[in-house]
Amino acid sequence: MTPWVLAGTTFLASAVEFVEAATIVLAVSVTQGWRVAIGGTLAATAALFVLVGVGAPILTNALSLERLELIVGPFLILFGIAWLRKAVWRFAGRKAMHDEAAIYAREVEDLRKRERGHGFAVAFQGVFVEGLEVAVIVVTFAASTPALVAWSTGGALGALLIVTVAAIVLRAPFSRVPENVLKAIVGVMLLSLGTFWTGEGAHIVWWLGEETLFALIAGYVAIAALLVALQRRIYRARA
Amino acid sequence: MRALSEIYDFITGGSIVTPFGLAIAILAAFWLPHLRAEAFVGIAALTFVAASFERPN
Repeated sequence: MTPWVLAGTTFLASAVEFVEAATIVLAVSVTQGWRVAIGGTLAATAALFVLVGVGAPILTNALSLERLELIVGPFLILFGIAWLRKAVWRFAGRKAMHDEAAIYAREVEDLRKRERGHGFAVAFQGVFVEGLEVAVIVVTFAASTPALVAWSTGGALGALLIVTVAAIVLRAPFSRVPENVLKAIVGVMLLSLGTFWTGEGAHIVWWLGEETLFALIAGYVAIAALLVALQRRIYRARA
Repeated sequence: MRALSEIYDFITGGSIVTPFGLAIAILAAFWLPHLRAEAFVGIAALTFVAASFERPN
């Protein structure tokens, strides 16, 4: 398994989720102050670190690699399909595009009506919920490829660092980040890695060995592109 | 009940067909010895196609 695929996937998945979390934290900081926002963010980040730090070693030590792949792979397929079908819906016009500026405006309006202490809970929940999927992805990657744990966790930590620094410098929602495209890429990667690992766990001998992963990526990209074109036509005709 | 529903939505993205499709794909991978890879990938891909036609949430 090429380390760059793992690092790239955790980096992109984490970047997308942390960008969403940053929008919520920025809204809290503008309406209820930086201290409340930072407090909620740090508490949620600590909880996620504990989850990854405890979860990955438990999984790795408790199960053989093949059994792990059979548990971890299906989770990645489920996550991958969830991300990729949302991308198909968005590009086919069946669901509104993700818009950080609009979400930010909505959060600010909502938080202005709330009590001051509410901001901590909103920041905590925002960071924890957005980070939970990243934590599960990192734990599954680390458990399936223990030799490459530095790459999979490094990708996620790199994204966390970049988004945090950018949020502090810009102090505005990241509306220029091409989130919809990034989400589609992450969906393809999760679905491909999940298919590959689940197959290995089920003792499938892949046609091209490890290179099969790239064939799976190409196949899922082609299917997603066809689905976008097909659904655009079907649902526009119905509208 | 609501907590269970939220856990289900977190794992599956709210899809009805994905868990069933995935279960069938894994069973096919174990029980179709001559077509394991083809059956598994084919059913996984069909599951994605079917899930994409569900109502957006």
